[in-house]
Amino acid sequence: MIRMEDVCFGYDLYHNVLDNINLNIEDGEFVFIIGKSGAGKSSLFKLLSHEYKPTSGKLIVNGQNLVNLPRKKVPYYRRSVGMVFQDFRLINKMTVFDNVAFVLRVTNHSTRYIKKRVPDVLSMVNLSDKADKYPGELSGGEQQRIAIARALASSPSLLIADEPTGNIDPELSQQLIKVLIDINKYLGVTIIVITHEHNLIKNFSKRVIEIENGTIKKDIMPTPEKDTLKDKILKDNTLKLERDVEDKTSDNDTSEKNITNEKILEEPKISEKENILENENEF
Amino acid sequence: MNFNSLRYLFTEGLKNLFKNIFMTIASIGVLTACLLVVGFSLILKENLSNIIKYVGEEKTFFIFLTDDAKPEQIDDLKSCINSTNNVKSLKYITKNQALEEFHKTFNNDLAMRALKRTNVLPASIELNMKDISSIDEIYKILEDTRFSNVISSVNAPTKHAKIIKDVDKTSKVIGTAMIIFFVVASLAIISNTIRAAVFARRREIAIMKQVGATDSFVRFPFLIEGAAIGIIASIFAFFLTMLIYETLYTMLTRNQSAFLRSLFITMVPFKRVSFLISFGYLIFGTLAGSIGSLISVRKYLKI
Repeated sequence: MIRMEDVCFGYDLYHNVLDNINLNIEDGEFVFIIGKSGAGKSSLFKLLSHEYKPTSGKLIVNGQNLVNLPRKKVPYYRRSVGMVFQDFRLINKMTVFDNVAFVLRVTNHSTRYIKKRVPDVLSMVNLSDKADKYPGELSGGEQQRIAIARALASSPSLLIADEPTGNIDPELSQQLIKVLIDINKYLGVTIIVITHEHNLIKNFSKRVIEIENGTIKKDIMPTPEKDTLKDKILKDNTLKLERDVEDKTSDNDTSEKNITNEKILEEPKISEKENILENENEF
Repeated sequence: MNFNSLRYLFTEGLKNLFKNIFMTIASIGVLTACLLVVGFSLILKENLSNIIKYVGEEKTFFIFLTDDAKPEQIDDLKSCINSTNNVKSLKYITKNQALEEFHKTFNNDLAMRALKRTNVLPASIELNMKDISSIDEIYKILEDTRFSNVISSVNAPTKHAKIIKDVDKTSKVIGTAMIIFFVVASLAIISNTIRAAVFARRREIAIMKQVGATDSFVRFPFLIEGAAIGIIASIFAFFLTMLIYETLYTMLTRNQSAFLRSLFITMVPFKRVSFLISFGYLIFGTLAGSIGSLISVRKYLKI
């Protein structure tokens, strides 16, 4: 969850780029932050990625107040937030696999886990076959998907994308946003997409926050979405599984209950991945 | 940081040496040159102190006698000196023996022919003292008016003592200052070279920081890389120093010219300084490489 209370920020003492921002983003939300160049979108991103601290106000992300976050804790905060940049920010001397694995190495994961996890996230963005390639050998769209895979590798609860479609063509941009929506829908990751492309967001019924001259001009909530056939099937399967678990747990002890509960959590994940891949195949 | 991470970071550091091969070569080159300068300053200082030690340890008097000195007067002088109980050895060198000695040392036929016609070399007494501290006793005898027409001149250690002391003091100050200067200059050059290498990778560092790498996680490969550059440069510098110094040593100490040979008789052989040089290079190279890297990276960690 993100909470901003009277957040002000400026690169110098005399001029505020962000002025009295008050904002609440709940867990699992998908939010577009839009605005013209110079409106303050990227500054907002820099505050969320803790590149800068607000000049005044409160900025709470996942229960941590970023205003007084000690320098030592910054890396740990950043690990809990996946970040996607306009210019991809991939390390060109590393292969696709190593770029994604790097996040996990930073967090001291074992080689065994890395070898299992990286192909998983690469398959989520349909880039399994590019694992041995270098970023320079891939298209802009593919590079941005690696950036998304990297952001997802450490299973963050929040993913912030700053102009993720800035370097790719409009058709691929739409598909990239669909991937992000699927991640939000099926993995429950809170997603914030910062963009200046008004046309891009028209096709998606999501919350839109418009920033102008450093203040929030509009905060439009989405209209409720109708479930697609795929969602219905997923929901039905989940409910069916939940019913099975309830039946079993009434007969068995608590330890078994825990095991079956884990299964419930695991089962939708498989279908989530399939769903994401289905969308991705159109990419 | 667990073992897995350490192993990964260690191999990353070594891999980076090859990934940034041009910068690696440049850094090794600069560091080797700096080590050579510091190393030769050390060797020079070592040679100077060796010369000073050699001259300072001299306890020999050369008492040159006048051509008019009579044998009784010479015997009188010898017995006076012997009575001091500070005589290790006393040797009378005639004019002819002096000529032979000159021939042996300088092997110059032209000068020999001229000297044989008129031997201008004086007879002398070579006196080796037991202890230089009681030199004044000898001096009292030499300054005795009885021997004023026997002794033409004296080449005594005390004459050099003050000069040697001054030279020793000055050479130590100059030598140390030279080494400090070259060490500081080297560090500045090395850190600039490494800074250029790190600058080329500032984007990489920024990405690492943005995905949640701690400062130590980012620093470690650079530390390994810097230390590896230092070790490689110190190996290169050691062999280059050995090659240059050995060549110079052989050239000067085994020269055809006896004059040159006598001038460089105190030159320190490489074996005597090899431990100091190798150990010094390794420590200085590794520290310069790793500290240079750490200082250069620090600027880019403030993200």
